[in-house]
Amino acid sequence: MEPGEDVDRQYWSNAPTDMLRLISSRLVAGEYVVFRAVCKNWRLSLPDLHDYSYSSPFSCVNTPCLITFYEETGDVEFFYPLYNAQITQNMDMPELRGSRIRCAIEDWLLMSKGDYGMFFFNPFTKVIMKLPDLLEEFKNSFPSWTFSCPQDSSSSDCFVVGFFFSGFPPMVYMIKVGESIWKIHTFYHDEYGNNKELFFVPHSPVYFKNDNIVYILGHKGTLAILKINENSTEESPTWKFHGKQLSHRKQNSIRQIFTAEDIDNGGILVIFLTHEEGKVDIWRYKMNGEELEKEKVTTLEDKTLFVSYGGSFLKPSVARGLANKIYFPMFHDNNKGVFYCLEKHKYYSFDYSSTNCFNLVQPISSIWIQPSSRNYSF
Amino acid sequence: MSSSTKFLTLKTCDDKKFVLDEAIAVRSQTIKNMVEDDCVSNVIPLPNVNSKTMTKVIEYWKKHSEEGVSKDVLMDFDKAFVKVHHSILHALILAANFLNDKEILDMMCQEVADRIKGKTPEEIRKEFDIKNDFTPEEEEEIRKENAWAFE
Repeated sequence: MEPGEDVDRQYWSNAPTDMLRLISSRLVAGEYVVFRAVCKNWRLSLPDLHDYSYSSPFSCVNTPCLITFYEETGDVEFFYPLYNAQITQNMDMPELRGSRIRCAIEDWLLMSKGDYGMFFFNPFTKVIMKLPDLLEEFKNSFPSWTFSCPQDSSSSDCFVVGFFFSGFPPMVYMIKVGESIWKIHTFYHDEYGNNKELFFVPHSPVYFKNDNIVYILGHKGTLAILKINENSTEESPTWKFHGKQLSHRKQNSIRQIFTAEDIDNGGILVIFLTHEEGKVDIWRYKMNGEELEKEKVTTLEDKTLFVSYGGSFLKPSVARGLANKIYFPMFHDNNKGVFYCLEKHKYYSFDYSSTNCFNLVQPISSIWIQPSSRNYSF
Repeated sequence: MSSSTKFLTLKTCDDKKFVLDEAIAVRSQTIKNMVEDDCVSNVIPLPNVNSKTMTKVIEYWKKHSEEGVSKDVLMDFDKAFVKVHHSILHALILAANFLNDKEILDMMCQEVADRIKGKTPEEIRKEFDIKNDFTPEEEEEIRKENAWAFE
């Protein structure tokens, strides 16, 4: 009998799993969901998440993705929240091995290697841009880094700034991209009229490039603002400190703190995860003249917040269901991304919901990046 | 380079025989392995492939083995090659899988994917003659879970 004249014509609905996977690996987002809604066998044969071991060309659209970096191998995992899809990519770049992600702006990562090496890396274009080594007398024990703009933006000067964890106030490392030597700036409490040692929350700087200032959180919930003067690394930048300390009770309950630029309102959003169960508490820190105004945030409205250490951002929701959600750098069941719904006060993942974060895993080095529309295929 | 052309005989599941230049037949990794392992006697049985499908595969192999064919000609050939009834697409994918010919396999899977893109589940069922075996409740549940994908 000829196959085309098959009587029961069930060959597609009974197609073997391998065949279905080969086909579905070429479908993304909604196409994949629709594919799994055609018939029972297709649905049962395919995992609810894309399985990219059947790898096929995958183009990423202009949505954020979470990148998890494996220091030892230099391999990278990309997680695409919109698709709930994870892709591991062997970068095959020896320079990456043993390096660490410090922070990200759009699709550029600031990386460090060893005690002195610093460079930018774009994981989509695989371009590396070396920075000069740090100064011999100040090796990289600086936990917080930020920079002002992506490396291929032609707009303005790019400053890279590192913050020491404590001081009176803490030391600052600075370079303007193109300069050949790093500058270190130290501060003395006399100048600042405060002889108490100040600690910074690691990974919390947020760079406002238009004003050339950086917001960074003090460890007791205060806000420090660094102003870069004269558009120069030679000039000593100036600190200003704002706000009252949080209550001891609040301080003790904090497990993690994330910060993100509050794109529409100015200032920053501070996301506290408190207590063992990961209660989510968001505050808006905004300067009104010389006064810090703190306001509790109960809804993100039609926006989605993506938070991680060294890279967070607030985006308009791009798909139904994403509004008023916070995507954390966390996974459930190994590879299913996790978001928190501010309305329901619950953590969600694919086929999972919980009021606590007990079953969620947070990789050591995961950071949100925004694939730029300039380069979107790899 | 070789002194004489070697021929292989392939026998499909419907007992039809195809005599083929070995240099062409080894586009199939499966046949290539058999040749290299010296397991080829007179006839290579292809129990999973019928003659109609094998004719298509050989047509593709021959075209892509011709000397001096331009890329454009091959592209046009490929474009026409995939414009077949879905039953043949299905048979070609199975055959390419058995013969281990990644080129044909990829091309055919891409064609199926292209026919699926932009369609609703109902349109896909129509395109591929698939019966909807979900209960209305199940279908409603799926739509509810993934509402964003069905808009």
